[in-house]
Amino acid sequence: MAINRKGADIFFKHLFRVMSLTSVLALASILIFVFIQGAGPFIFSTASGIRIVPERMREITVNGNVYRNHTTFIDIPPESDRILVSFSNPGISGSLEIAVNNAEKDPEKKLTFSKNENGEITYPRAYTYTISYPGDLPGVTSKIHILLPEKPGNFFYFITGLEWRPTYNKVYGILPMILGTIMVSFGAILLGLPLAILSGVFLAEFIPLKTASLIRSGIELLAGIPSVVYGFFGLMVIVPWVKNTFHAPSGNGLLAAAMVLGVMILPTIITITEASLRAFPDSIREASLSLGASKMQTAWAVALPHAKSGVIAAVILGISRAVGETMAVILVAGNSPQLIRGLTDSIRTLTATIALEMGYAEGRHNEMLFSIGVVLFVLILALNSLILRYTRSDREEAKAPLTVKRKTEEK
Amino acid sequence: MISTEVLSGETLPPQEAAACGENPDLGRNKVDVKDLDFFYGDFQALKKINFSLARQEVSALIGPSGCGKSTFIRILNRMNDLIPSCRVRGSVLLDGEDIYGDMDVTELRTRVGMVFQKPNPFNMSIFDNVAYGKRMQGLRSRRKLEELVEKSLTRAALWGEVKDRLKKPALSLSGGQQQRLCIARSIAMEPEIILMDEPTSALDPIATGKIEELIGELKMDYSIILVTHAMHQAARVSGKTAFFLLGELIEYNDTKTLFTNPEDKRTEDYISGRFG
Repeated sequence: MAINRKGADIFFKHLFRVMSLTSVLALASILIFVFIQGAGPFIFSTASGIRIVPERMREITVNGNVYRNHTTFIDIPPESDRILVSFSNPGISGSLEIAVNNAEKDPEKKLTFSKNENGEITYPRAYTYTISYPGDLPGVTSKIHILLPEKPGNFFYFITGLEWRPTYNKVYGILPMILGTIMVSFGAILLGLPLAILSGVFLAEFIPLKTASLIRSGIELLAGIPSVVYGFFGLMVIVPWVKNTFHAPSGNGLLAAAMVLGVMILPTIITITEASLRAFPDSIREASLSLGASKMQTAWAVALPHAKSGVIAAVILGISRAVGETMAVILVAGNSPQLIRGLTDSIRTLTATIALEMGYAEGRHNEMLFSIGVVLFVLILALNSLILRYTRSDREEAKAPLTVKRKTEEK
Repeated sequence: MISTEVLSGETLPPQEAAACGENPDLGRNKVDVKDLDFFYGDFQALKKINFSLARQEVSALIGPSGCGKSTFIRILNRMNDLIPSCRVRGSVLLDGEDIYGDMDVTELRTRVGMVFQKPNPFNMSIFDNVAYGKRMQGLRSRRKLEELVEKSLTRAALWGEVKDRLKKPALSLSGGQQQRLCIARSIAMEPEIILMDEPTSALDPIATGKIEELIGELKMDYSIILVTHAMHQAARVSGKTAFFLLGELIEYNDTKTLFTNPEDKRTEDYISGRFG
């Protein structure tokens, strides 16, 4: 069967164009969505006005409107300064009269309960009031939640604030977590990188290929171990060791996390370092040896600089893994969002915050966790582009021949 | 670490040593190879080679591909040690000393320099390339290194072209310049012998001409062994020529004699272009 080659070529050309355009657009829209979503809590209030959420209420009347078996928000218009609530459940009924002081900034003083029948104000938080009505059966309590709107968050405080109290005080400052992430990753690189590079050099330069491939397969096996297993190992072995060695009240902290992560990034860096050293041309290795350099000198002075871009790629992967690692860190880091004063102090990372709090976060807290994710994304992007820029300027220097020649010709 | 003064004393170029009149070895051969057999695993690459090289002499090795020329010169600075499963039998003497005996390999390689088929400068600046070997021996003095680099590059006829851009990467040089840089790099080690493994095979005729000219100048100071595929090159630059065939040294004679009046029929066939 004859195939129309020209037609097929044109078809595939257009197909590829459409597909690549689609994927670029899709990626761009995902990115834009993520950033808008992350910026949301700093632009919008949580709601336009006060919201009431009934819980186990068969019938509730709010400012004259009757809601039956309502379980979601009841919005109160923002300008209203008085809220009247009454309900009647089988066995219990009650009513509330609330004065709203719209001019008041302090959420604690914004509401005044001028009439409160049968109700008991529990859980008085800054932005949430809960009024409970004990029912017939023990444990079955009817509740009315009154949620005050939260103003748009302060992005500057979000980045530089030292306090993270998302549930009660609605204070969202993630600087301790940003610093925690950076310190844990930096510590992991500090501990893991020298070991990994030395191992890579050893595997590539000093032992026979067969033995090296045996060891390499072992190392690659390490890369496949689930991170929770590393975390468990850290919890059982490293944390007690840190505790005993440094006489710390608890071994959970920066040092233990950095050590566990340091081990976790080893396989990536070792294998990539070894591969890039193996790609180092024998002719240049021979040149170095023929000048009377020893094998060790050749590895350090010629082979490793030659393999530098590979090693830096490995470091980027290692940093990304260290920054993004969650489970192992949660198990050994202690997870207190605080500025640390010592190596063994408890520390919390951005990823740990998301993983630990996503389960119960609601409202603004939830949005803030999303923003933390965006901050994490930007952080990794910044770290990687920093390293990449450094390597690229270096590579351009090696590519100089053309410009150099042109200059000499002009002279 | 051995101080460089001692080393440079030991590796005084033969010309200077001769000028001092203190060298009792003068007249004896620089290199003596006796009954050399060489094996890659089970394959015998060289058979019963007997070879000698006098001081300040250029010997050219010619022969068809795969005849063992490169293998042979790589024995002289023990580059073949890198290949697993290779074996050497027989003796190789450098100034009467067995290089496969007690001699330190790194020391041997500083005495016997090598220039490779393809220019293989390090990915460093021109200066660092030339200074590399001495630095690895522990020479740190900036002033001495600068002197050394200038001297070596001048000897390799490259100084004028690169003196304004010593800090530029060596890979920015042209192929011929790179090869001269590689020669400068081995000269910087002040070797006694320079092995050249087809140094012009990757170069254009002009660059080749420059390298040949350079070899002509270098033979005043060094003993040179040159592997080449181009017979006219052997004829132009070498004093003696050896013809290798299938791992055997067929004939080793004065270049003029070998090319005009070869003793062996196979040599005659090869140089007259009947095979190879």
